[in-house]
Amino acid sequence: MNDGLITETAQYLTFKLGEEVFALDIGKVREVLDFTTVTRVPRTPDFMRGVINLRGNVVPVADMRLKFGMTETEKGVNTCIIIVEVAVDGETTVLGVMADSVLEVLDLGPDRIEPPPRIGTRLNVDFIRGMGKCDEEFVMILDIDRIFSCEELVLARDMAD
Amino acid sequence: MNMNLAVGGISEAEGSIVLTLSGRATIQHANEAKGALYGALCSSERVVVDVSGVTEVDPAIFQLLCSAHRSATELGKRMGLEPACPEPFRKAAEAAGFHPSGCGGEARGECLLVKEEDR
Amino acid sequence: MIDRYRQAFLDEAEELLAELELGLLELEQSPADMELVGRVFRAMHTIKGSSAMFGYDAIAALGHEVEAVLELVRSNRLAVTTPLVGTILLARDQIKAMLAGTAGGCDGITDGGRVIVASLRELVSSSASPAVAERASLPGSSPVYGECGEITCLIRFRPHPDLFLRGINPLQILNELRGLGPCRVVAHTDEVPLLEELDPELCYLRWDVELVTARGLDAVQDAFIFVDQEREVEIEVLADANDISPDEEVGSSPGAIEQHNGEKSISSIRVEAAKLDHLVNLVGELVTVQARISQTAAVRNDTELLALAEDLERLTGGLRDNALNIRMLPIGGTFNRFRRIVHDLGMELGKEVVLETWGAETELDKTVIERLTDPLVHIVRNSIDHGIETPQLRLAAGKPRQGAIHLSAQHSGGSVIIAIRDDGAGMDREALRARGVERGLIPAGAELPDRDLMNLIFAPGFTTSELVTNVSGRGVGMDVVKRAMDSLRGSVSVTSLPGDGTTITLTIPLTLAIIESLLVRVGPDCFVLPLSLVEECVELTSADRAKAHGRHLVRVRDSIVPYIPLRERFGARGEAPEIEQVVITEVDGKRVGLVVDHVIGEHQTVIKSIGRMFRNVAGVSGATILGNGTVALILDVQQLVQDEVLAA
Repeated sequence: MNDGLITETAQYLTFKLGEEVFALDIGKVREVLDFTTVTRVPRTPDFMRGVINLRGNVVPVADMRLKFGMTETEKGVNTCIIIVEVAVDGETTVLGVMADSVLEVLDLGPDRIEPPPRIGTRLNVDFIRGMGKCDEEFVMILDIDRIFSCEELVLARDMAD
Repeated sequence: MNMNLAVGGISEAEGSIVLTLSGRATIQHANEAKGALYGALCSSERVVVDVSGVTEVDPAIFQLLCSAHRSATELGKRMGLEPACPEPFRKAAEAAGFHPSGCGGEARGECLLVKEEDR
Repeated sequence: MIDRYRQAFLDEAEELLAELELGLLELEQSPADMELVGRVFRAMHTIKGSSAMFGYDAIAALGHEVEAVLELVRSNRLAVTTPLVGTILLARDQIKAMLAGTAGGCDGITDGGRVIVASLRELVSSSASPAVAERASLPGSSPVYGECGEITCLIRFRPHPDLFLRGINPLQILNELRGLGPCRVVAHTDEVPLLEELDPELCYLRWDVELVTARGLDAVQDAFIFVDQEREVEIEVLADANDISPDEEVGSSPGAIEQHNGEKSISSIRVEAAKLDHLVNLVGELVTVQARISQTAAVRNDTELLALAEDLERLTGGLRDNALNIRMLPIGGTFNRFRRIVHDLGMELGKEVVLETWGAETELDKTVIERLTDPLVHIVRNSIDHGIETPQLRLAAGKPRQGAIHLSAQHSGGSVIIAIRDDGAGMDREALRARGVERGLIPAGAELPDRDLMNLIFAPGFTTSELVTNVSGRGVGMDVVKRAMDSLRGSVSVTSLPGDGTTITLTIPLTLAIIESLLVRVGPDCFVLPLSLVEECVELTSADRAKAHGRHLVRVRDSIVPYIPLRERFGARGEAPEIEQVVITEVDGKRVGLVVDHVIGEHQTVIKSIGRMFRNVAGVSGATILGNGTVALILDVQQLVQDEVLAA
């Protein structure tokens, strides 16, 4: 469990949703898959796109674009699914997140990370652990645990009803 | 209540290593004891095992001492128990069926564990 | 390594405690059965001995007290009475709690334990001969001779090398033998290797023991209770003082008694449950892959590949059945737990109840049995509390004093049917009706079919009991049973005849790992539903829809069946086909249709968890992987129907 403060140099996987660049702590990432058939699960929020077959296991997939208020992810040549480990209520669960394209793995020290901005982003700032600086551009480092925190799941349940 | 293993210094007069077993000498420490005995036998012509501080001993340790005794004989070395063999140790050896008349099977001389009379 | 043996000890202790409990309850019914006494004694003796080996000294001490009482029973100095059985049962519960509670077992006997010990000692002192009681409470002290004549035996103890690792200290065995009479112990060290080759945790020693005892061969064998008597021990009777001794069946024949039997192979082995679960998971994946291969072969229309796929299908099917079969356990173990519950509850409620079981050998998947126990407890408690009358009432009604609960299990196709029948008063239909009206479950004055009236007991919070006892009657129970059955993909029904009793019937699938199902399509997505619920499929045309004036009803031969349009409920994309299919299911005795685009066919469904994120999704109970590698969802038909009723 982190408190959102980044104090050590770590590696991040960067990926694009539309024109914006996001990053995930590489420790959370298990693998990156090509886009595959997703089976929709009825009566769930739109951003939960459904489930996929990951070598015999059924894994849920979320559409981060929908979650962040963009249009639905369309299948393209670079579309992929990043398999991440998320801690929900202290329990680790495996989840796929869709990305328009995966870019690279970045080393970012604390000196190159700024706290999340209070305004100027359409994302809920709670979902951002910090703003990483890379080649004069900013990448948003996501707090994946918080995005799928229990409040969010309860919300998902309400929407399902 | 762990068994403490201590290897005493080489006594100059006799050139022997004194290995001390004390506390609970049981299977939990059999591997440790084997290592110490093996090391002692390799590095000295004479190994004395001091069991005066042993409070509890089980057949696994008897078996180990028996094996060490046999190995010493095989190597032409000498191995003996510290003469001050405590009562619980001797009683336990007898209870486990070790007899002064020596090991069963081939005649290998008298048993290390239970002597006819303390020398 | 030692920990592994400790786990084995805990597992074994659990079984022995169950055996002890069962034996005691049977003993209460037939107090003169000496064979039963022997069984109970041996179970206790083993628990005591192995507890001591693994450092559960407090348990060993308590076990010792129990053994003292049982020893008196065994020697006919103390009669089996209900209080005696009750006290030993309490001691058994205490031991169970102690095993569960402490990791090291170093805690002393608790206050509760002390009370039990006091009652046990009271039993001992009440016995016919105090001198014998004294002896019995101190095994290992000098034996009393002349009881059944002396025998001299030669015991050859050739332990397996893993003796020490099993937590066995041979000194304890040798000392126990010394307690039986004068003996000479010789250790053989000829197999002890040189230090270099010695694995100090293995046992290379052998022992010969010459023993003169008056305690009989049984006692000698009891000393070796923790070792494999067939393989590791050989007992030869050298001289028998009482040549003809009718009481001692084993000791009576002079000469050698060969217990050594090297050729006999092991008939069963103990395997960790997790390993079996893993095996079943692997087989599940294999079934999925095999389905994909069959599909690919069919698409390519390659005869050679098709033949191979067919072979693979046959082998996979066999492997699947075998793997699932390994995990099957007889339900008898669960039934036996009820002897205790029935015994205790009967006492508590002042009712006389006897438990009869039938079909205890019926096998069910371990995971199903585990999830079946709680619902069964609810039902049996309810039957005793509400069903069986007090002895006075029973006599007044011309019934025998003692009520009976009949537990039965039997296979029926891919399901197991478990029935719990009591011969009590039966359900009061008027009370049910009144209560249903009161709770707003049925309209006043409604004429309900008998079955619907009975089914009211499964409504949440429903109870008709005037008296709220601490056993049942708080309105929790039967709805819990209903929900448990739903989660097991099973069903529950009830029948009752006034004055004659009530029968609750549970129908449960044999396994939860793989089910036969029907594969259907709604829009672009495939779904499966358990075949056990499906009755038939009928067509639904737009003309049919028009005839029903927009109401969701379809005519199936002579009856009108309501249906759930899944396309609408699931918000499926695209247009519905001209002719849709209605899958008619039977849920809780009612027929309900599910409208789908297409029925694809039957499907072997390997059930997969849909995961944490989706566990609260209503109407979906799991997922499976189809032949083409995509995921299909398993529909929770009961839940879908229930939601529909609530929405209506």
